Amino acid sequence: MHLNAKIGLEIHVQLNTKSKLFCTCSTNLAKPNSHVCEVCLGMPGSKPVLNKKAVDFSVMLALALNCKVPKISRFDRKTYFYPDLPKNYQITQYNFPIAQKGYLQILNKKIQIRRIQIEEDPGAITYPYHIDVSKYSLIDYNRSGFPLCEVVTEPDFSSSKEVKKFLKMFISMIKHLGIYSSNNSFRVDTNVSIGRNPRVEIKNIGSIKDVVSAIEYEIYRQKFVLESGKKITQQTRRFAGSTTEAMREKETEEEYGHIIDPDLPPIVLTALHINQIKKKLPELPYQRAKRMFNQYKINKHQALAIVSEKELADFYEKVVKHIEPKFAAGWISTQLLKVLNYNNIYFSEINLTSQQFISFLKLIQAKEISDRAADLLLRELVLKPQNPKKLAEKLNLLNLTEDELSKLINIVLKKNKDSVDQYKKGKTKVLAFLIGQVIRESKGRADAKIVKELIMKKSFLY
Amino acid sequence: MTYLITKVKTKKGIPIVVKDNICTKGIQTTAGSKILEGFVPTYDATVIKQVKKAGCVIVGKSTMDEFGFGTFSTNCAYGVPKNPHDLTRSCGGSSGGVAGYISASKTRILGLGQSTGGSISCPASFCGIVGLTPTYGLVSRYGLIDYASSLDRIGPMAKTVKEVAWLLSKIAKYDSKDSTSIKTKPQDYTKFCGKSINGLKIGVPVEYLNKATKPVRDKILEAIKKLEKKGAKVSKISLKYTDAAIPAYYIIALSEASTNLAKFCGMRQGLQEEFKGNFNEYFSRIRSQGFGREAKRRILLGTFARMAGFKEEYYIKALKVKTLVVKDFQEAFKKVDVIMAPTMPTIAPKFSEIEKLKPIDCYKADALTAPVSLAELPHLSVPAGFVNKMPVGLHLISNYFEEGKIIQVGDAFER
Repeated sequence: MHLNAKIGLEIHVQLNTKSKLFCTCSTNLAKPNSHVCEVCLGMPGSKPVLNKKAVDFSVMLALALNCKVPKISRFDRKTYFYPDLPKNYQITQYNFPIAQKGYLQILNKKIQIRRIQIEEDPGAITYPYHIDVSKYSLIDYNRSGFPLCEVVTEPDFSSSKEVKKFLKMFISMIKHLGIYSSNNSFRVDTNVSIGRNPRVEIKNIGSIKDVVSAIEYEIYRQKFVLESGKKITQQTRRFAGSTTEAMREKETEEEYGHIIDPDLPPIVLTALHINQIKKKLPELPYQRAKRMFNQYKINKHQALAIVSEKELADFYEKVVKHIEPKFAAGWISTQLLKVLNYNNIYFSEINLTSQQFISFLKLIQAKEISDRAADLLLRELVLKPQNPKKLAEKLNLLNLTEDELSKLINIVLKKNKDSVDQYKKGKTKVLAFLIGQVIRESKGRADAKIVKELIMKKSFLY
Repeated sequence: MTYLITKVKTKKGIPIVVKDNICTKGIQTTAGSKILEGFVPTYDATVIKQVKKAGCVIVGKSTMDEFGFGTFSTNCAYGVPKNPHDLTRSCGGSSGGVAGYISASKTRILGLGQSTGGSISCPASFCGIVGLTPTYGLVSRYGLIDYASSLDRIGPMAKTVKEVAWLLSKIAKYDSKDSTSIKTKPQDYTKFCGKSINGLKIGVPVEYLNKATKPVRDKILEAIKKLEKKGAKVSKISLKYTDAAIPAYYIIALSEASTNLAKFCGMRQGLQEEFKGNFNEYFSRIRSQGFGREAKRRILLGTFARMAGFKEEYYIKALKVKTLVVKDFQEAFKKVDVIMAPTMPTIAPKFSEIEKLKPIDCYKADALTAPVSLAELPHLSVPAGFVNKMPVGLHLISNYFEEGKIIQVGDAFER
């Protein structure tokens, strides 16, 4: 039974505006319930006033995702009762969202964007202990009214790998746009279906890694259900660390009784304003990759790998001020990303500085360390960034000094008198054996080229 | 007397009575509902800041139909105000407390009322005072506890047109805290008082006249004669969507009200009790206790009208009707400067009569005020004499931001 998975995403990105979506309260971190006012607390009589910056940020995102931005969009009220929602309705966009119909290209595939909508975040519920054993919960309304952009894709993904690529590029994009920073929250709902079976929605997943795990588990679970002859029902599930668990069965679409929010006039965007935003768009990941390809003569795959994280691209461009770009690109796009992948972490999660990496690459260029030892050194460096030379010394990874190497070669040549003789008689094949012996004795801490030259010189002494 | 929910000790100044759905810092504000009992706002509504600046002092917060849900001020959680002209009769609603208090007062007093579907005009008419409902967006709603945000308006009430004009001048200002507030040039509306109405064109919609009882109609016909004597050119006009306005008004108003009232759940303000069960159970318990019968009816009707499957038939259709009603008036204003009509079809009814009315009959009593409310037009009710010793109101309606014209006609009529 071969069935294709169909996956769609709803991504909620907190925009990094200075103030909230409908009031002037700060979005900075603060002690609970200190950044609140009558508007974000939904006090009777208060009214929302739209933060124009949040609209501009959303238009930037819409343009970057190749969306159509209509002249008029509106806010609606989505009514549901929940303690973290001060008005018991959320101001969101329903019938007339800020943007529609765009796409983002990944791996030769266009992932279509269905819509982008602006909405307000509810407050945050916290529990003193685990949710199941807590006798009470607390609500922090600091988050209430944070501006969110919800991006909804078509179910165009067929694997978690595609989702991962997409989300990485998406985050790189919103960071390049400057509308999001790592302090802001990023939450994803994903829907997964197999073949023509009903779709299952997994709500509120907080990181790319968890989205990937949730999708992988869900595909596995649904296949298992089908293979055991059972039926998949339309459901909402939650991600529980590594698996997903059922929250509720969904018979029909939920009923929120959306109406236009009469407190907010329509958002009217003139072509002129949209064009001004377009002109001011910063360099985006794909444009940056193209520039890097032209400017640094690195290959396409390397460039794309580097721009997949904004922090990595910034890092690379700092490094190339001191290191030959192709050489740096090689080490970043293969070795560094391999180590990150192996540890399942992103570059933005580590503290490796460009200065440290430059010193690291300089060790290689000066042949103070072999490629193999450098590989080992990098693994350590990624986990515990520090002075690379000192770390290499500590780990005994630096190449032998010329004196040390010279002594070592003397020993090897003495030990292998027969081979040296053969070499002198013209059997050049033996040279490789001798080099190998030296490198083995050095425990990899010698450069083959240097060893070769030294053996060629020294062999005549024996 | 039952005109005030909260009485305030006053300092020197111009006394003003404020409808209890307008937030006053440090003074309990209930919107006439038990669910907000004990709610003391932390801020002043914009209009309150403005009237304080103008030298007014609040003497009290008046009774009202719960959240403005009523035509007779009989859906009140804090006592029903009685008409000073006849204590067995209604003050009208929902700003009945303001109108009753002003009417009963022997000295000069101003009032801030609020209208969604006629709640300033109706009590002004029944109590024999003056009430003006400005163009939607002219006066800030910031700090007004919402009934239906797209229709709610705050307006001045007093014994004379000039006082109303003065108070309007103080509150008709743009407010950046209300997104529906419109930027206009502040002006002194009292300058329209004392102006001649010679040559002014006034239209009288036949549909409105026909809806009034004969004694009320006769009073309006007298008023026409008086205005004609002063030089106005009065003609009959037709507003053909008059009957469509009531259902459209109620559907839009209640749909919005059902979302506006969602926030009252015993968590952040007003009525609270010990938390038992899950939050849904707690919210339901508080809402069952806190809301009166009419509030519950309107929440249910409004929720129904906006649900999938019904929304197209009700909410969306009502929005379309609204545009037709607006067009109707715009056509009329091509021919006339001001429209005049009876404010209410009847004089203030007796409480014993109101008791017998079905909810739908109560809603129908708004027949003459719902169209202007839906169209967001300014309107002014001025006393036009008495029928059976009870006041009758004359309604004056003008085009958007032409409050000056109705003040001009109202003042001329008064003199």
